[in-house]
Amino acid sequence: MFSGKSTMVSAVRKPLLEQLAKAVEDGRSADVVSAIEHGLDVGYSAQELLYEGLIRGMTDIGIKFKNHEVFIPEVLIAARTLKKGQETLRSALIDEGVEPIGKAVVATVSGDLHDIGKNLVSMMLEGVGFRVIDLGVDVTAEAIGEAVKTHKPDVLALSVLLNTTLNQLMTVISYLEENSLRDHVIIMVGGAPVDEKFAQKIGADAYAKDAVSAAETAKKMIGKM
Amino acid sequence: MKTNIVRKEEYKARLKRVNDAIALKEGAQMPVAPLVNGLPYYLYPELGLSHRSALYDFEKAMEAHIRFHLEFEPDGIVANIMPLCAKAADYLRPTMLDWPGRAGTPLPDDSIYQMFEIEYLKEDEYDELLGDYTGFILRKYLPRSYKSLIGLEQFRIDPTCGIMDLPLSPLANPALRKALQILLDYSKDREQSDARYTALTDRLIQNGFPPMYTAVGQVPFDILSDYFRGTVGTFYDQVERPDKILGACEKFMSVEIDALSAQAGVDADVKRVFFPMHKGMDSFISDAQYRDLYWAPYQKILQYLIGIGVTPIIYTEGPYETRTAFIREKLHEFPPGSCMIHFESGDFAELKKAFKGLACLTGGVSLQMLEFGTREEVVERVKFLAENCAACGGFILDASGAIEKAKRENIEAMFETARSL
Repeated sequence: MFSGKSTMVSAVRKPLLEQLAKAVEDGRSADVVSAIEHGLDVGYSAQELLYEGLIRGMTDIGIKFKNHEVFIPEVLIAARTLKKGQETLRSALIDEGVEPIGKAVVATVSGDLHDIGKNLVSMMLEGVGFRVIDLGVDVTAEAIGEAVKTHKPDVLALSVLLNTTLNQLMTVISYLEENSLRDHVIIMVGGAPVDEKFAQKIGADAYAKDAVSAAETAKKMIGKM
Repeated sequence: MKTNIVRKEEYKARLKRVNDAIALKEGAQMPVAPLVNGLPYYLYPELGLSHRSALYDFEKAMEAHIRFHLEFEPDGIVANIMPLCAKAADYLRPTMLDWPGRAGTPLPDDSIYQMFEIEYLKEDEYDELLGDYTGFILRKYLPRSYKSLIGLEQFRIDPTCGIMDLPLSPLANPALRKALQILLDYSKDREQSDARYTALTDRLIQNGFPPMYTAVGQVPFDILSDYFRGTVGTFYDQVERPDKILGACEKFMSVEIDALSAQAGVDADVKRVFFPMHKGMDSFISDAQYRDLYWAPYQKILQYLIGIGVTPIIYTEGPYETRTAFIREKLHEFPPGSCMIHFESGDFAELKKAFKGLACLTGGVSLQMLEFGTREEVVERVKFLAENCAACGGFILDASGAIEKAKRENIEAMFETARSL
């Protein structure tokens, strides 16, 4: 997993990665940036800084969220910090050819203009290593089908806030089925009016009750956990 | 002026059923009062109504709601429609929401209006809001909330030279004048809109339906999150500046108590304030912040209302499992039967146990079941609620939220089953 660039022994390396993970968890952006810059200077690979530092930090705070030790605000601040770290690492990741763990298309369904839930899910998916293609809000089944065809994502995450747009989830799934696109993608659904039972009823592959579990479920479903 | 009630007996019977439930007394029949939004437009397609046409043709929307009440006979006025004035919104150009019928909207005609969350209050403006509340609302909040009121940014009357009319001379500013003219036009449309809304309420009262609530309020934290900072902005503030949140919530609390104080002098059979609760759900906020930031200022509002003889309707939204014990503890500070409490989800048998002898529980039938479930499922659910929640009183049958769409047979099943038990 480590690139050949690093020449340091892991016993020396580990504290910096741990510090990086902890800085993500605590939402200390300035510390994240300086840890990454220092790490790259002293020979860490971008890949290990990403996975064993940044993403590790997000995973840790996700566990604390599940245990009710922290809440969405703390997770959101960690995700914002991680994003800052990813920006700092971007060119090094490109140089090393580091690939994301998977690709996800996210959207709020047609007729629904709400984006908070979708944005949180996008941030959390990026936080666990996905490349996210965000289609925005009020996205028709046809546009979602087109994105599935073009981007060939591993995961399609659909968000809905209004009861009145709940039926759009069914419309999207039917459209994908009719156009032979359904079997190529894992469909996850979530949002205030959705629950596990409803997700099963409409033929989704998974339901996520919040952004943290959406990221965890997506990772699990593509076999990366 | 009190409305002349034509169907007095029905009115009295319904009022008694609901009041008994609130007072935690066992009644002969379980009250049924599901709040409805667009449901009547859906149930009576012959009226050709959609949310769009209802916004612009209130009389027709009124007809649909009256028809619903006469057909299903709920135990109170359940038309959960706000007195919105779409005609005025067209020229006020609010940035906070979109609605079917607005020029250029992507929304279909059958969509309800949708809110956007914008940071009308920037993270570094809390002190300004608290230091000069009215000035902030006038010169910053309104111009940011309504595109057409941008001229209000110039609204300053500083009598540094008080001779004759000179303190008022800033009113000559053309942008400000334009904004003031729009407000004047608006005031006329608002008056008509209020009159139409009052007419709907009066007709329903005349037909024997007492109001379920007489005013709407919001938890101060929700006011901040919904209308000032946005959910995400508030999330950041919860970690980075919780003391500022508390300051703002205390301000909103006093503003709201002031606004609701009018309820004290109202001569009415019903005095209830409906509080839809948005941002206090599980996982949005820690237990400690829920206690200190969310509930503490709200408790003072509840205390004030209960003190003047008003019943608050605590209408929780979203998952609320982790909050039950805390709310129960706080409601113990009030006399039994002072509040109504609604839950969107959860184990209603357990919720009934938690609030038995304390507050009237409402809710129980999920919107999803009403729209996608079967008649049999609804019948079973209502029987379950009658047995587990209504048996000793203190329960009003309602849906998990205001109903937009449902199968007719499911709505029939809900009412018929409740009435047959």
